[in-house]
Amino acid sequence: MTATENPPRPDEPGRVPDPAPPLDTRPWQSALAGLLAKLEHYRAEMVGRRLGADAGWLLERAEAMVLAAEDLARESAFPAKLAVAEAEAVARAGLFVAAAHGIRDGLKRGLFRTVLTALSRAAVPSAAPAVRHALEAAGEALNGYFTLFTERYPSSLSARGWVDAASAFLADYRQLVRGLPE
Amino acid sequence: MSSPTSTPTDLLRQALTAARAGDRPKARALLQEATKLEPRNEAAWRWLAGLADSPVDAVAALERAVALNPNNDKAKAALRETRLSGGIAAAKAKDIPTARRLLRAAVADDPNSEQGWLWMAAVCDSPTEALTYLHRVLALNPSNSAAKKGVEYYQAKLKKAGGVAPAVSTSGVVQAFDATRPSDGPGSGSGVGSSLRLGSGQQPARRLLVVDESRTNRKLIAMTAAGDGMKVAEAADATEAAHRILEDGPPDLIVVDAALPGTDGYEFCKMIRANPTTKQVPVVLMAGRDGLRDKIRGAVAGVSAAVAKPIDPDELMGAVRSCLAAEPAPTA
Repeated sequence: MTATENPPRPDEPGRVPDPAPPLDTRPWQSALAGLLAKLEHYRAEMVGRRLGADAGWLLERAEAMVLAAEDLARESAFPAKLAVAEAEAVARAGLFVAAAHGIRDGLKRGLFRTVLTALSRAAVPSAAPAVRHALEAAGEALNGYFTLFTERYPSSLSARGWVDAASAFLADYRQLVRGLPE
Repeated sequence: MSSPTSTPTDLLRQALTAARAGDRPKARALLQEATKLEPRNEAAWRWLAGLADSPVDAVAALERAVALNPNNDKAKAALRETRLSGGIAAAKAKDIPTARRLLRAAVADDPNSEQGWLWMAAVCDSPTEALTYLHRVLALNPSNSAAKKGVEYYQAKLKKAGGVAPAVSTSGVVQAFDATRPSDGPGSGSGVGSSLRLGSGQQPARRLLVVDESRTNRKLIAMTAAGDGMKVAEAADATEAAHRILEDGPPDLIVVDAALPGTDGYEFCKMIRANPTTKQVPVVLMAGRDGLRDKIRGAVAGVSAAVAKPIDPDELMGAVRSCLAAEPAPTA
């Protein structure tokens, strides 16, 4: 998550020119701290849940996390040079939302299918692997937004506190998703 | 669908809204526009593949994604699956050139795919070629009944035509389909780890001790406090906090989570108040709820201020500043 990962891209038409670097990063830092506090609260609520039994709930929580990051991105002005990073983050959010909605549609049909399969004594396919995959996609989306948010800082030095906190969050989130029982 | 001045990000946001509303056709159309404007967005291609209305379109989108990032294992796995399912769908729809192209790629991706070889036999040009593929299936799984029937069928067809069946060897096919696959590079880990030492260094900084099991909460409080020029030490539980205090001396203020593992935040606060060296240190408690019971428990334990979780960093820092304002500034 450094400012040098993305190669320079031509500016898109219609985007505002890069503003001068802000001297005071505190309002941005404060907004990010607020976001991260919210995300961590959601993450902590996910601890101890089960991928199969709590699939809908987990996906809702993950969607709330991704949308919280998307809301902050949408409300913030980014310089034109970050257009590619912003588009990448939104696309990752879309990937997650598409996966989550696909699973939810399956869960809606699931009750009827469960009754049918119970009657026919066939095995019910578990949604757990798909749910874990979707939660991983949510992590990728959050990482995309975090990269974008990091690059809005005027220097890597001023971003260090945020980078440290965001890294801790992502590591804990990924560990949680890997360890959620089926 | 979109205004002429829409940027790829605008289009993606509209697609996100459409996807959340369950409007797949609209999301797909917007994504198609976005990828036309910005064809280097790998995630957008993967998303488009998931919304494609045919396996062939899905394969095309995934091929773009993999071309942009050959190290993306998830995209490569999706491409493998979609090539096979797309090839079979095309074969069933009698679109033989597409079926051949997709199935050829599918077996190149996964040379152990029985289904891939079986369907290759179904769409190839000659009985000889079909037999080669079917023998490949039987080499993988000698009891595959469809392949056995296929071998019988094509051998009979060859005999009828006066041709000669190939030897039961798959080496030629293996060579033919040993397409070079991009090797997996090292993972592009996006860890952003770094160590952080806070403090302005210009004047004696206030020292905070943050006691919270959540690493993220500790770091985000450190990040927010750094804006006020404070130095922050971290501890994951009461025991570690006690060690910190023993090593570094009492801090100017302690921020503690009520729900600590083991000794909880209330008990920890009582211990702080009971110790002569720390009894004057203000303690800000982060409680899960903002209820009366928690307030009473906090007051009994000797908490100086309390904030509700999830933390509002501005509210927390307001409480920290108020508590510190009531204390004399450090002299060292």
